[in-house]
Amino acid sequence: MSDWIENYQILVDGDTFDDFLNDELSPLYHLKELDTKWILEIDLPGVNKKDISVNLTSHNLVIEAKLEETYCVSKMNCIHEFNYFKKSVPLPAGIDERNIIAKFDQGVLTIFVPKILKGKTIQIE
Amino acid sequence: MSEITEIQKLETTLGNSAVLIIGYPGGGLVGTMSVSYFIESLKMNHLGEFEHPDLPPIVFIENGQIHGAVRLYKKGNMYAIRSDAPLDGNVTKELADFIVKFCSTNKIGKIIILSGLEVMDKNLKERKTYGLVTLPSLEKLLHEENLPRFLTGVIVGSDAVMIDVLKKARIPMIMLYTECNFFFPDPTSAIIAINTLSKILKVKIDTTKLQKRIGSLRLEKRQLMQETIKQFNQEEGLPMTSPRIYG
Repeated sequence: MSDWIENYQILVDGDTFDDFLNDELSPLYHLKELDTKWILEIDLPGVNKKDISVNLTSHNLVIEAKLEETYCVSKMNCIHEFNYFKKSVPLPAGIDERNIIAKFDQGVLTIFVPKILKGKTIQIE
Repeated sequence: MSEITEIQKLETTLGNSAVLIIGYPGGGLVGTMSVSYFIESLKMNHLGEFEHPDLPPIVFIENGQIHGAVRLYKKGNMYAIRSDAPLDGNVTKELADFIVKFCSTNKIGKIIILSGLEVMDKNLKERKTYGLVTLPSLEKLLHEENLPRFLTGVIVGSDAVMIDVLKKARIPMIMLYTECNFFFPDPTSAIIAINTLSKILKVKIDTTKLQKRIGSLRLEKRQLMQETIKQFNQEEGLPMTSPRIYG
């Protein structure tokens, strides 16, 4: 059986990713809000846990990860090689930065960002 | 097992009525990936295309031939429709209407649609496939294959449109929902969907090639997944939620 996916070449303009501008792959991510926290999931296939770094800047979480193997993409008769994922995700306001935790399972990085639940006490009349 | 033996076995199983397998972009891209692999595995022949002005401007090259995004395949009395572009409500409605007519003219006895289902607690160690049917007579088939029924929940988007049209037309349809990582391409769940389909149709499908490509497919399918999520979000007035099961 011929390789079922390589028989197809997608001819489309207007990529939603900026992979080719920065030579870094932009991973898919999903941010979900719960009552007490935000959950940020980032899809990082082909990556080992030891090769992931997560940094908190003033307003963003910056995720960088090295691919286990170079990923090659053919586009417009050019071969592009990618070795890294990189994504900067803006964080919502009112988060507890000191208690952010992360786990990595089956190629998905999950970051738990707690909300600040304590503030000024308001008296009930 | 040889290809001819597989098809003969399939025809014996299905009797005189044909079966139509459908997969389009949805949660985890389970439908698209599983049906694409199914078509390639059975070496089904390209039969035609479904065209619609609202489909994105995209063409696919297959063995030097130019094709549109929504394609129809056939082998023996087995038909398959795959879409490599997300379908909005209007396109899905017209595709469903086309399928109703197609079933009538081609003596389709059963439709099986493959799709993905979000796992709420993200425990994807043991992924299940749930079945939803349009006619009570098909519940026996779910029981025979030990497939739990989709009991209570809400379905939105393309799946809802497709189910609604086929149910009203009284077309026998089984919707197979496989638990997946809903927002990312999930070839692992596509393999489970293929294995379930394989059991129902009594056709052996070797998924070794797909298993070897899990990592690369997750990379290659990012763009389609992103566009599919964007399509979900554009469904006006609908919450960005996936089908849920209760009970």
